[in-house]
Amino acid sequence: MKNFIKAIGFLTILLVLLYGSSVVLRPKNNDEKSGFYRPDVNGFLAEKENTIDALFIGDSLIYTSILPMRLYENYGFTSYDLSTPAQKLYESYDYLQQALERQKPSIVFIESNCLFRDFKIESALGAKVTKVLPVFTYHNRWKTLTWNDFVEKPEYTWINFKKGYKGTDKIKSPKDIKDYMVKKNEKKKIFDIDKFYIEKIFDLCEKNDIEVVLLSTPSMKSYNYPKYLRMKEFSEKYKLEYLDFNLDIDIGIDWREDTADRGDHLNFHGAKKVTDYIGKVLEQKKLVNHRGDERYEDWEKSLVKYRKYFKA
Amino acid sequence: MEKLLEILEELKPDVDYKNIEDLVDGHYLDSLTILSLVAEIEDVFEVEIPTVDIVPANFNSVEALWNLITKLQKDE
Amino acid sequence: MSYLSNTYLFLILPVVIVVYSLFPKKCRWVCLLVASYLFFYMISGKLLACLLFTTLHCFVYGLLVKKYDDQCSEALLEENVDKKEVKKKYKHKKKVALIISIFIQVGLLFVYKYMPFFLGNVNTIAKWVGLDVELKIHKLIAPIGLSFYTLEALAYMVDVYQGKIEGEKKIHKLALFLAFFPQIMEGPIDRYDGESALFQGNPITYEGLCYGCQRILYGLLKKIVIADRLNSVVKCIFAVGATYTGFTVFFGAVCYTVMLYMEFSGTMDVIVGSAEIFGIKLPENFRQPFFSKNISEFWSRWHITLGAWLKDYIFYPVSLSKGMKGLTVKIRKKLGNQFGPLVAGSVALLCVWLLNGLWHGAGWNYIFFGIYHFALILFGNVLEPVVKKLADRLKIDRTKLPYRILQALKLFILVVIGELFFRAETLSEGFRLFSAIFENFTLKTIWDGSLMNLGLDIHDFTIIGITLVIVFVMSVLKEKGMAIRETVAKKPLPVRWVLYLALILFIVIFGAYGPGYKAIDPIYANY
Repeated sequence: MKNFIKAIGFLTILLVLLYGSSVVLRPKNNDEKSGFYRPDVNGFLAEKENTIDALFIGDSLIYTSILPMRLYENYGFTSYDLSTPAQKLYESYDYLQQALERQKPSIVFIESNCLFRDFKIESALGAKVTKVLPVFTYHNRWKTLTWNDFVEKPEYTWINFKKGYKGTDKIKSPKDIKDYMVKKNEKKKIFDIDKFYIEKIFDLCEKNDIEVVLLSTPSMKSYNYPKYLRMKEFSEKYKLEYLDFNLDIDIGIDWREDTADRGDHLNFHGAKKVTDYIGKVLEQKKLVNHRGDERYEDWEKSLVKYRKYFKA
Repeated sequence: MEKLLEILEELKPDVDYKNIEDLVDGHYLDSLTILSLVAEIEDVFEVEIPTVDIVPANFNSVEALWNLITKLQKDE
Repeated sequence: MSYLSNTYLFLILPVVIVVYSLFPKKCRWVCLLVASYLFFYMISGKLLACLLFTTLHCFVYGLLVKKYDDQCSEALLEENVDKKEVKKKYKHKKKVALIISIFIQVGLLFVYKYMPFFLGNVNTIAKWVGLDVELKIHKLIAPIGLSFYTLEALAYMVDVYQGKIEGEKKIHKLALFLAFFPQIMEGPIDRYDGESALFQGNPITYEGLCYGCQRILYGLLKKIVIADRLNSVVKCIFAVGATYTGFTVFFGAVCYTVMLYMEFSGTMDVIVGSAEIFGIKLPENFRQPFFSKNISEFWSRWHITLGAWLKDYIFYPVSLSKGMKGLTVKIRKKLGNQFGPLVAGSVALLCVWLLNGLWHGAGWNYIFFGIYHFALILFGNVLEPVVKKLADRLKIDRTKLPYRILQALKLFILVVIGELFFRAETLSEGFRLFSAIFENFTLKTIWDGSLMNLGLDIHDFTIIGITLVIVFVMSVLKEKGMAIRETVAKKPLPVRWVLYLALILFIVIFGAYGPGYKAIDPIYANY
């Protein structure tokens, strides 16, 4: 018993120390210079409260296919790409949860490719731990620690004018496209752990009155017929809208021109085509046009930067 | 016993065989010396040392080695 | 998965500890065995069948030898029998059983590990002599720990044959011995002993838990702070097509040697610590190898259990075979002590080192690594009397510190060169890297900043330096025979806690993990 108390005491002190070092080591702003992890997606943290109406969640297919700034430019809709490389659904869930703390979107798009990505429950648990004790993510900042880190409170002020988009305008065409979406009579399996997390995401959206749309953006490498068949079945089962740009919807993707890496991801030209279609969908869903609204002057400033950057 | 000490002295002089008790573990006898030692003992004492018995415990001290030899002689 | 992954340290190990302590003493082995098989299954899936087969094989073989022994002693009791003849008959039977068993086990090892290498070489030779055949090479995925548990199984078989131990009658003991989960992936290569604490279901004590955790922490320090950090330098320099020259390449080889030691001995600390929690004492695999006097001693302090295995089951059986023994006596009479055992010894040593090289992997660079060390040990033996005479003449005391430091330095450089070939992707890459050291070799490299372009900055090198000093001091204390953990345990509680907490925080903050670093895959688990 005495030993038990000792062990508890030891662990308590350890936790306090870990928390203390977390406070010191966590970045004090959300930009790259401050050492923030994945600033592209976390630029989201600096967005004003209740200003984002649509979210795009998913892996790299999202941040190469969806241009939130173009949606704002053409329709005045505000949105953000909550996408990270090879995103797993527990990350998707965490990003969504974090977003809902400050935002009230009315619609969420989920890239269906994430549903086919396996992961271990330990990774999800580990992410929970690092969320409470960011020292495990940011321990390496000891190299750049200054006095300010000990006294300052974090304040997220860096606004990402690309709103999560990370694509390029490079062109690299695929060798051939003959295997792309060839009919096959089989369905790709969705892992149990993915089912578990996607349902958690659906529940969270339902609770917050958010519409969910499933999305399969164009990718020769990531998509195939078995995945398509499974997604069809899946969307019917959950009675969800499903936008498939690989087979169902033809937006005129030209694989010789519209991809940056031989058909794996779209480039800027391809992204424009997907984004324009999404714009029409959002228009039907009666999203609000915020152009000219004073509360959105940050978005106007971002638009200027965006136009300059992409010469669009 | 004297004979054994003689062999050891001849093989590797300058070791205090009477008192050291970690001849193998203390790296006084390396594996090559042990090879000569085994061959020599078998020759002189007319025994056969099976490989099972070639373990540090039997070679760490002269006494252990002597016990091994007498045991093997009895078994013959 | 590795023993240093979160999955093992924070999920598997704690769960097994809790379940283990909930079991009654008598069936705790069940818990360990089930955990071990689950662990194996998690990594190698259906290949668990290989391990089960080897276990069954050992069991049946042990019973068979036991049966022969019983029959033999029964036959000896009968009157009017030629005792020698009977003994010989049964010894022959046992021998046949042993040889067939070894053949099966080595065969399995060969099929899984060496087939592609072997067939590749056959193809090369066929091409060379102008034969128009090309054998198809299928690379099989080997079950985890194959190289380790096969050696344990072979040792068991030979020991039973020689009568060192009796054939085990309870199959679950053999099963647990071969599969014990902290040990299965990277050793240590243990010898079977029916009395091991593995089967006793010792309770988990507070002291054992503390000692175990401390040992694991020390291992984490070596692996996460040093080895994982050095990984980027090593990858940089050993990458095929890299064009580094001079001191940089040598530095890379030094980094690799340090990394290998920290990785392997650190993992060993985690393994031994894990077992210690269950009250099980595993044999040590390292004893401050870099403090050795020569290469031969180095190998009795680095990967000890592999060296001991090779010594007991290859070196002595070969060098003390009948023909070799006679040779030794004859040559000794003619050429004296120094050269007497050299022929038999060298032949056996060559076998040992070829196998040692091959054990690490099917590749010519590993074979070269083996032969390199064989040559070093042989030269060491031949030159020893010369060096001794020289030292006596010059009145150098070979036990004094300055000489010992020079000795250690020489040893380190020799080991580093060996590891350079060991790490190189191929043998020709090894030679390219080795000759690159002598191109543009200048010590200016150390301070002109070019070492900072290898993926690590000055902060990283500082941390590596500090941690190496910590490990060095610990090693010196251990070398001097100090029981470090016991000494610390005697200190008052606040001192102890500050020490442990500081160690944990040091690892958490200065560990090379997370974004920007990639942990090395367990090196020895692939052998």
